[in-house]
Parts: sequence; C-alpha cells; structure tokens
Amino acid sequence: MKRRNILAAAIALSAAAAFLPVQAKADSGTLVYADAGEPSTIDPAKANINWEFTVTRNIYDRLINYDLANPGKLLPGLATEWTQDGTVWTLKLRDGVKFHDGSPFTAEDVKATLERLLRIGQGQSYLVDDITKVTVVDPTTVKIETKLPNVYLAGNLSRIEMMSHADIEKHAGDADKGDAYFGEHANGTGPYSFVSWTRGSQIELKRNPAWWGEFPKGAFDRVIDRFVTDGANRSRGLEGGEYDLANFVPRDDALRIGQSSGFHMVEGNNLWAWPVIYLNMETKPTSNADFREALVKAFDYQAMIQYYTGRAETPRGPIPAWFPGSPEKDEAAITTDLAAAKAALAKSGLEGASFKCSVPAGFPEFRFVGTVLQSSAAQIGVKVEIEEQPFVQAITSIKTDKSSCFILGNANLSPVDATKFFAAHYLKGGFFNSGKYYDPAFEALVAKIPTVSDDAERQALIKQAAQMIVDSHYIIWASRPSTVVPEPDRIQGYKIDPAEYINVRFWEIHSAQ
Amino acid sequence: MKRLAWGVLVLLLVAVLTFFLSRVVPADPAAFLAGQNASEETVARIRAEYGLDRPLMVQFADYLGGLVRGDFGESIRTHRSVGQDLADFLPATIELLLVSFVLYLVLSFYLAVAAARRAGGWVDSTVRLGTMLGTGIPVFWLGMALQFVFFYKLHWLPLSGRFPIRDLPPPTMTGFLLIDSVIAGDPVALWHALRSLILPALTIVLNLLAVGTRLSRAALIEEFDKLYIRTARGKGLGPRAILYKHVLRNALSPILTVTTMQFGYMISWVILVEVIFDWPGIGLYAYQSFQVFDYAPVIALAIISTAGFVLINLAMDILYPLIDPRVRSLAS
Amino acid sequence: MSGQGRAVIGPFRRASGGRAAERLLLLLAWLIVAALALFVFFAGLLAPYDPIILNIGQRLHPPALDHLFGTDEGGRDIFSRVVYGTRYSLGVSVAIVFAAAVFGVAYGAISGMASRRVDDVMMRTVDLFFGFPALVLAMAVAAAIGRGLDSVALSLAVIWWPGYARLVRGEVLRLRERPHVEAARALGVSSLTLLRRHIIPFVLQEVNVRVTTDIGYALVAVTALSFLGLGAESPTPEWGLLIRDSRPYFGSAWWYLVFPGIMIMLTATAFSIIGDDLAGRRRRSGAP
Repeated sequence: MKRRNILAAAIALSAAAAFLPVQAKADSGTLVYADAGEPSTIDPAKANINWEFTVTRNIYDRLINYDLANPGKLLPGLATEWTQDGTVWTLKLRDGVKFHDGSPFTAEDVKATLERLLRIGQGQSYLVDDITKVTVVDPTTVKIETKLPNVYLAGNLSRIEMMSHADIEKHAGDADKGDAYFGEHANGTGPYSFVSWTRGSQIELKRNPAWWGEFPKGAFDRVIDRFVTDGANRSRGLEGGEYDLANFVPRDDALRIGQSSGFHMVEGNNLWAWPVIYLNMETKPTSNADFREALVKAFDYQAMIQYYTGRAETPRGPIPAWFPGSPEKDEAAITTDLAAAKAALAKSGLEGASFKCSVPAGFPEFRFVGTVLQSSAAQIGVKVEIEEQPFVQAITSIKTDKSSCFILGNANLSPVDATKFFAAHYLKGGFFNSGKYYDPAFEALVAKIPTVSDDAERQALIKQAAQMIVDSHYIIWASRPSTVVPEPDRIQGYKIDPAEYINVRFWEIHSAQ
Repeated sequence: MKRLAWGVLVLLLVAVLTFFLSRVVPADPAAFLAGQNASEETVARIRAEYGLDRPLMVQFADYLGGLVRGDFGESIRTHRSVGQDLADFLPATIELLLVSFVLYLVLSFYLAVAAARRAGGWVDSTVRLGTMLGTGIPVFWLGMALQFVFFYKLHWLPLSGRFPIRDLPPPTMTGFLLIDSVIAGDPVALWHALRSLILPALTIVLNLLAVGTRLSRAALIEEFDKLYIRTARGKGLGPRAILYKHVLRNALSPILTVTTMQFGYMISWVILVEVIFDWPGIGLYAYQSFQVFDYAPVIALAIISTAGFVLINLAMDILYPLIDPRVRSLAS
Repeated sequence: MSGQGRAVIGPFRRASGGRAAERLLLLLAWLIVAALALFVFFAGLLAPYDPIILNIGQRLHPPALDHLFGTDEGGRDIFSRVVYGTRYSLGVSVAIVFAAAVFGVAYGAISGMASRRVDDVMMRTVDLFFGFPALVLAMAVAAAIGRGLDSVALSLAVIWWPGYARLVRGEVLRLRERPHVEAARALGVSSLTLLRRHIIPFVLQEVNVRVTTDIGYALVAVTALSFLGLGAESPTPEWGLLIRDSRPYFGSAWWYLVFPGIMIMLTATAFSIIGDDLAGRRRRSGAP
C-alpha cells in the first residue's frame, strides 16, 4: 500500500511540475519567424519559392532595390548608378562592401553570379535570361548586354542576389560545379548571415554589423526562421507568442488576430495571394471560347469580396492598378452577369457540360475560389468537380489534361516589368501557363514591349497585350484582395512588398521602441 | 529462424510494392525542382540528372541494389541522401515512440489492474466507458484538442516542436534530446525537452490506452476469475500476493500480444502526430516528401516501419517462452 | 490496424446500479446507430440545408438555433454537412469492414480446414500483410490510383482482412476438434458441408462481434486518411475532410473542429458498445 502511494504521489508531483507555466524568456535580441515550409535549397540561383526567398533575400544583397511604396522608383543597392545605352546597361557598384567571409565585393562577383545563374537556368533566371554578356570594366563598373534593348533590366536585377566569385570558382571543379555546396551554404553581403540549418526545424541567422545598409534601432541580432508547414499552427503560435511573425497566416485568423489586443495589422498590396482561375485551352469543354466566356460571366465576384470582408476588389485584367504603367483603370469592370453567361453558354452548345478543377492544397483562399466556381457554374447548369492536391500534382494535372482548370496566385516578381506577368503565365512554355494559352501575335507583342523606349508607346502596347488576355477568357479574375499581416505590438517594421511573394525583410524589423 | 527469413521477405515485398506504386504516378518531381518558368528543356535535364527518365525496371534494379548496400537513394526535395536524412530524423521519432510506449505500458497496466480487481465496480465501469470513448476519438482530433486546451487556452505547454525555440538545446550526441540533456548535465534542457514531449506523447498514449486497456483488462479478468474460484476452495492468500504471483504471469502473455499489436498501430499513427505537432521525425519527413512526389523517403519509411514491426514480433517470439513456459511458440 | 483477442465483459460481482447503467448505454448506442442509419438513407429529409451551396453572408457563424453546429467558411450549415457526410464516412467504413470480413472469412476457413502445410503457407502469407504500415500503404495507393474514398477503401480493406483470416482460422481449427464435428466427419460428411453446417455458423457469430467493433475503428482510419488529404475530396462532406478543412479556422471557429470530431467519437463508441454487448451475449449463452 505505502509503496504504491508514494509512487503515485511522485508521479502526480512531477506531472504537476511539468505543467507549470513557463515565462517565455524575454530574449529581445531574437526574432522568431514562422515560415510556411522548409527550403529545398538556399542557393539564390535556384530559390523559387517563398520560404527559400526568406533566407536568400536576407543573406544576400541585390544590385538594385526599389521603393516599396512606389515600385517604379528604383533605388541603389549594391549598384549606385545605372544607365542604358541600347542593348548595354552600365552599372557603377558600391565601394567598400564586404562578404560575410570578409572578402570584398567587386564587379567580378556580378559577372560570376550572373553567368552561373544563366548556366543553371532555374529559379529567377527567367527575369534576366535575355542577358548575353557580362563584362568587368573595373572593380566598380560592370557592363551587362542583352539580346535586344530591354528597358526593364535594371528593375529585374532587383531580384537577383549577388554571390561571391571566389566561392563559385572554388567549387567550379566539383562534379556538380558546386550546386550541392550552395544548396546548403551561404556567403553573401547582406544584412544577416547564415549560422546553421537544423533540418526539419529551423535556419538560424545572425545580424551582420558590417553591412553597408542601415539597421533601425532595436534591430534583432539573431533571427530564427522556423519551418511550420501547418497554417493553423502558425496562427496559433503567433497568437500565443511562440512566434514573433508568421508567414501566410490564414486570412480569417489574420484578421481576427490583427484586430485583437496586443496586435496590429499591416495591410498592403501583394501578389501571391491573388487567386485566379486558369482554364485549360486544350481540353473540352474549356477549349471552347464561348464556354469560357460563360464561366467568366457567371462567376460570383461579390462572393469573393464578401469572403475577404470587403478588403478586396475585382480585377479587370492581369496587371494590378498600382503596378507602374498599369492599364487597369482604362479597362472595363468585370461583373457577374448571369444572363450574358447563359447566352454565351447557349452559343457554345455545351449546356450541361462538366469538368474537373485541380486546386493546390494548403491554401484556403484558393480552395474557396474553387467552391465559388462550383456554385457559380451550378447557376448556369455546369458541373465543376474540385480536386485538391499538392501543388506539383495539381499543376501537372492540368498540364497533362487531366483537369480543365487550375487555381493559383497571379504573381510577378519584377517590380517594374509588366511583361513578366505575361512571361510566366501566358507565354508558351511559361511554368505557370498551366492552361496552355498560346497566341503568336501575343508572343510577338510581349517580345517587343521591353525594346520600346518611348513610355507612351510602351504603355499602349502593354494595354493591348493585357486586353488580349482578358478577351480570350483564358482566366477568370476571381479577386484581388489586399494582404493582411498581423504583427504583435512588440514588433515593428514589417512592410508588405507589392512586388514579392509574401516575404519578410529582416533588416527592417525591430522591436518596438 | 524461419521467422527471420519471412521477415526479410516481408521487407522485400514492402519495398517492391511501394516502389512500383509510387512510380506509376504521372506527376513529376523534376517539375517541382526546376521551379517556375524553367523551360521544358531544363525540366528534362533535371529529370535525366535524377535518372527519372530511365525505364522502370532499371530504376527498380538500381534501387534494390542500393538497398542491399544500405543506400536508400537520394531525396529529391532535400538534395541529400535519404540515409542522411533518416539519421537526422529517426531519433526524434524513436524518442517519441519510446517515451509514449513506456508511459502507455505503465498507465495501461495500472488501469487494467484497477479495473479488473473489482470487475463491475464503478472504477471498472468508468475505465470501460473511458476506453470505449477513447477508441472513437481520432488521433489527429485529439492532438488538436490537446493543443487547443494546453497551449492556446492555458499556455501551459508548447505548441509544437521538440524544444522551445528561443532556448539552447543540448549539444547533439545521440539525437535523443532527453539523453543528450543528461549527458550535458543540463537539467533545464531536460525539462524543456520533456515539456515538448508531453502533448505529442499524450496524444499517442491516450489512444493506445483506449484500445490496449480494454484488451488487457479482459485478459486480467479472465485470470482473476480462474484464481477466485481456485482460492475460494480455501487457500487463504492475500489479494496482493495473488495478483503479483499468479495473475500477472498468466495474463502477461495475452497482454504481450496486445502490446505487439499496439506497436503496429503506433507506427501508423506517428505520421499524424508528427504532422500536427511539427515534430521533425521520419513521419513528417516522409509525408512532406510525399507531397512533392519525392518517393524515396516514403519507401524508406515503409521499409523501416515494417522492419520495426518484424523486429518486435521476433522479440515477442523470443520472450514468450521465457515468460510463460507453457507456451512453446507464438500461437498464430 | 485490426484488433485481436476477444473483448469480454466482466462476469459476476456487478455493482447494483451497473446492470441498469449498461442497459442504458446500450440503448443509447442503438439510438445513435439508428440515427446514423436515418442520416444515411434520409439525409435529404433530415438536413435542414443544402450541404454544397455557398452562403457567404453566413460564414463562420457559431452554433445557434438555426445552425445547430454553426457554419463553415462558405456559410454552409455544418450540421447538414455532417448528416450528408454520414453516407460517405460510415458507408465507406462499413464497406471496408464487410469486404475485409468476406475475404478474410473465406481465406481463414480454407486455411483452417486445409492440411497443415497448406495452412502454414497461407498463414505465413497473412503475416506478410500484417506487417505492412497502414498509412504508408495508403499513401502509395493514393499515389498510384489517385486520392479519393475508393483508394482509401482499397488500402484499408487490404490492411484489414488479415485480422479476420487469423480469427476465422483459429476458430475453425478449434471447432474442428469438437465432438459433433468429429462425429459428422466419422460419418463421412464432406469438408465443405462440415464447414457450412457445423463450423461457419458459429464462426460467423464471432466474426459478427468483430465486424461491429471494427466499423468504429475503420471509421477512425478513414477519417484519418481524409484528414491527411488522401481520402475524400471537397466538396464531399466526409467527416475527416471537415476536420481537415476546419484547421485554418481553428482559432476563429472552434465548432467547425469540435462537432465533426464528436460525431466520429460517438459513432465509433456506439459500435464498440454494441460489439461488446454482442460478445457478452455470446459468452453468456455458452456458445461453443
């Protein structure tokens, strides 16, 4: 009897002790960021998804930056001046910049980085793949040549991270030319340097006091980029104080948390979370232009605005209004018109048709769009079947004609280059051109736009291209919501970057003063 | 040793099955790797790099050859050898499973005994109802509910992960945080690791308890019945002595059978628990790889969990005759 | 994932209120099963709202008189979705268990009646299936033939039948030795008739018990696979899928998570209680 009692008491006591609440150690020097996934690589030449950019954008610098409030306005980064002369861009580089390993940054680094990026041909290389030659003029001057004159090159360079030519050369002799090395190691000139990568858990960064840029007061010395694939866990953790900031907080939670005590909301425009529906141009029934028109006119745009609690608008075309040179305000508004939809459907002769839509899993917004499509289509007697799958499977499904529609964000990483909206989504071979839209006239138009130096003329061409896409009814422009990010009151500095997937600039984040 | 041979055959079958099933799918990890805007040529180049364009049988023969050498292939998602990934992630899973299992054995035994001693009494009825409700609660739902109550509402325990984010874990020696904390002589780290273990372990334990306690209790009651009748014929042994000397020994063998089955369930559930608690073990690793068509880890998980199950069965085979001399071989 | 061993209800020494409480529980269990059956066959009549059509203005409303379980992110009534979901969640579970039972019984009966060597081989084969990790097989099958309730059903049926095969074989072996069976054999009755008349009826009683309890376990497994994204696809209101969909709204809408979970629990528990009762009756009636 006695022994068992003592044992029971011991168990009860330790259980109670384990449950004692622990004060989170107020470590003001550490920022914990919950990202939506673990990078597959931290090589800036290959990074192509949000959580990879979280690491690369903060460890490496770019030649050119831009004003978040006005992305058309370019700002100096590692380059201080740049001029275009036909097909040649000349850039003057910043003096006295050092890599994290102490070596100096020079024009050689620019050349080596760009050549490697183009050789590999992945990641963001598509933004600058018209570069034909990079020449080192002197340690602080570099010349970049493009195939045809490209007025957007400087803006597109604002996405390309600069690596060290010494590192690249050191591993040039490896069997894979260093690709595996750069997947796991990082040596940049940026505001934060790489400390460690605990697989399955987190990446740790530390502040680089020798950075050429300026840190705000209260900047964090240590940043932990935690991989939290589940959106609910990110919400919960942000709210409970486990994380200081979180990426992709599900919208309902973002709104609620942002408005609760101890938090404030940061709102802005951003690209990733715009859901649009791509219709397959090559399979029945969506290959029929009238059928597509019927769907576009039947879609319940109001439902989307309601879903976003009013913080959204219905787009009029591929290029958002706040993008430099956007023709949006000149475009016709898109509204639900069931009568016109039914008329178009009758004209197509495909009444009562049905098709399948593949939706990438894990994004409640995209899933919701699918549901709206389903119920909108039901209004005109068309049946839509939604299949939620992991991203790669979903996009492959439509590309291999197993589904007739796909839902994704209509993003563009370039802050100035409207043609990059087109490149990824509407040109033949574009990775996100999942519905296989192809129009040679459109391609020719898009190829021409960057070569036109006269602003007015270029604008007109952009408008023409945008109109072509809208008229083809390839896309249902479901909604363009504003992005809402909850920030705890103890943290300041998070800004939403309009020309980025939802991302975080650690060098601007600081504790509240 | 016929058992061992069959064990190996099972492993082989598992490898074959999972390999072919996973290769039948048309979707393409190369597309994922190549990233947005990669041209078709780039995707094709990557596909060739990883040997995904070779005929199926060639790929399989390659894989099998690798397996024999202990090479599980390369993960397309992490760009590392699966073996290396497993070395990183396996300790987390094993630690969770072991702690859960030990906790389960202790609690289950205690509960089953308490229920069986006075079968029909209110303790017994409570336990019975509890276990019945427990079998119905899905593991994933229970995990989320526990998180909700203990992290979100009460702030007593961490939300997820193996160790609090802002604190320093002990230096990695074995990969088992509990052991590493002890080796490093760091009681704070030990406590942190324990606190992070509680919710995921509790989720597994509560589920195992529901099923296991029912069956253990049933076995114990049977033994109690027999004993009661015997001693009623006039021996005069105290109840505790009866319990520990006779009942246990006889009931142990069915309880062990139950235990073996529970281990099988546990392995199945570990994926669910790791997903909910962001526990960086092989379950989460395999699941995330599965999402992007990177199948080498999934096959590795299949093989390892089957191997685990086979080993446990072998161990039981050896233990049974030792525990209960009346049993000569594990009755099928 | 299949259980083993009999669940036995305690024999004597019952506290006085115990019997009544047990009867009450059993009654509740049968009521739940009856309600579920009604949900399956008369969903249209019993569900107050359509489970698919959106109603954005009502999204994420807490439980109230007009929406017993609250509404989801599309404004759909969760109670209606749960009612319609019964035929998917429970239906698939029943199908799985029956398929596994039919195949397992046949297999086990043959193995039990066969010669020692054939029996040995057959049982070793069963062992192979026993070792297979359920979730991983489900992932592999989903990868091959695509996600969906059918792929889940296939994987789980494959996982489940060995339990029945073993159970039935054990029972057949045991009953073979019974005096009345021996006598019949001595009279020259064929194996098949032996099986049919003298063995299978008793075996089926045992299988019945197992089937009932297993429906609950299968339900939990099906919902787990839907939760992982391997099973039902939207907008099917399958209970596991409902829980999966509830996750992003967890903090704002607790009811979305709680009510489907309670349905799963009640259903599985009800089948367990009934199964237990069947086992108890069988034992008390002194079946061979």
